[in-house]
Amino acid sequence: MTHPARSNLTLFAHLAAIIIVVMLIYSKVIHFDFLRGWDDQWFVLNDYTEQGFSRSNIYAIATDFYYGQYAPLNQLYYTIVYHFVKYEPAYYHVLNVLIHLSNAILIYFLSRQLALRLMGADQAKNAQVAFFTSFLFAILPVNLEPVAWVAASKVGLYALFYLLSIHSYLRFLNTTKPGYYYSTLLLFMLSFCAKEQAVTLPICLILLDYVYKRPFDKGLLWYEKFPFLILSLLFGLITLQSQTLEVGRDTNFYPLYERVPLFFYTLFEYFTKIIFPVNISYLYPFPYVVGEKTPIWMWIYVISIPAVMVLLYRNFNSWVKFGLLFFVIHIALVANLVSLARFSIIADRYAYLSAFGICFIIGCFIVQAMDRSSHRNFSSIIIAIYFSSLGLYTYTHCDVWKNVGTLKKKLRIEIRKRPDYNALKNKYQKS
Amino acid sequence: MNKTARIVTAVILIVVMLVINLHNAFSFYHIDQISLTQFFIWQSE
Repeated sequence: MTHPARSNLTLFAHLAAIIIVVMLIYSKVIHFDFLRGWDDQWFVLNDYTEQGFSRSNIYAIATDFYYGQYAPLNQLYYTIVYHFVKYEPAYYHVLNVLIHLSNAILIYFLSRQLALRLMGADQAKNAQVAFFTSFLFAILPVNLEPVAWVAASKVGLYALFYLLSIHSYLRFLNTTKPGYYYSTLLLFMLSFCAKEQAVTLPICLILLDYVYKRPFDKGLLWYEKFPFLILSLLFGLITLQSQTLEVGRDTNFYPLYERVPLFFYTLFEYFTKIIFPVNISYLYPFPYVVGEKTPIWMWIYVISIPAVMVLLYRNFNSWVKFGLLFFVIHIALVANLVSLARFSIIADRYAYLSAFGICFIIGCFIVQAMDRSSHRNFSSIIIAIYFSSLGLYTYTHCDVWKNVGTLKKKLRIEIRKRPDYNALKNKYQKS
Repeated sequence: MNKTARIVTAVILIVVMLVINLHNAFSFYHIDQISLTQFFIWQSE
């Protein structure tokens, strides 16, 4: 058993390390501008932000669909920040970093509780799992976009209330006090009011029931979920309504049978971007246009992903199963099975919360490997190199988000690598 | 299928998928012409 004073010291050291590293990695954002030309100009700098707390403005924020978006809590957040600091970008950026930091800390405490259930009662090991999971989450390059881009603050806010809701639910499971159940429900609503991706919470709660080994044949477990499912349905309808108004009837979508290979490819693409982020971008165009034939290589994913799951299922520990399920539950909605009204096959910001599932698997794996390994020094060096590379990548790639000029420059460099770039450019200039 | 064969097969499949993903990460070749036109418009703004 770990001594309480030592346990507190470990907790302090872990949280201090996370806070210091996040501050260092994101230190440059304080000099960043708004991205006028990449959504900040309408999403942040708008009338709702400027018109303050008048009754009519609050009513408009709560009821309007704005360019296909319904995120009243996020808009209210801009209105509050504007009230104090007007349009001073540094404050908006610093607040985004603080939201990210809060999420990383919430993930620390969540991982510790989950590790207790999935890995055993060794407090020291659970603290290590929590540290590696939250540290990785804090420095991931794929999480850079929602932190460095002001208009993506809704991702951080939705995750914040979502994680608080999960914490509240775990308190409810541990204490059975109804107050925690109602606060879970309230935090769920707040999370949705920041971003529509929160509709997955009821499924996530069922996953937590599985972790806590609650009896699925008992009616109470399902009755508890009923209000959440009703709210999810309502939130789903609100989202569809807001997007339908914006997209209109003329937008072309991929047919359903083509969305199956797109879904599997997208799942793996997000997975790769989280664990092995190479050449991350703020724009990933679809590999082919609507109406063209699906590339053959895409069907490899339709066969390989289910095959890998079947082949490895028996070897999966309970923490691998939890991590993978958490990842899939939170990424499935944006994995192109439900066709999204956008021209990018994936977006880094969509992976924000789902990345926790993969980070948790890596955190558990590291602790278990270190415990069993006879070459601890060598393992420590590999882990240090991996973590340093990710942190360094996030730190250097941060510059892309400085202003709309740096954002365009990055894409220009990528596009110029095309062999037919000049021919296409000439064709465009003549037309 | 024994354990080793299952793991080796799974690893091969994962590596194949990773290679395709990494190739795509370095290649904007597959970007379609519509997106490219949008790109030129956006760049010239």
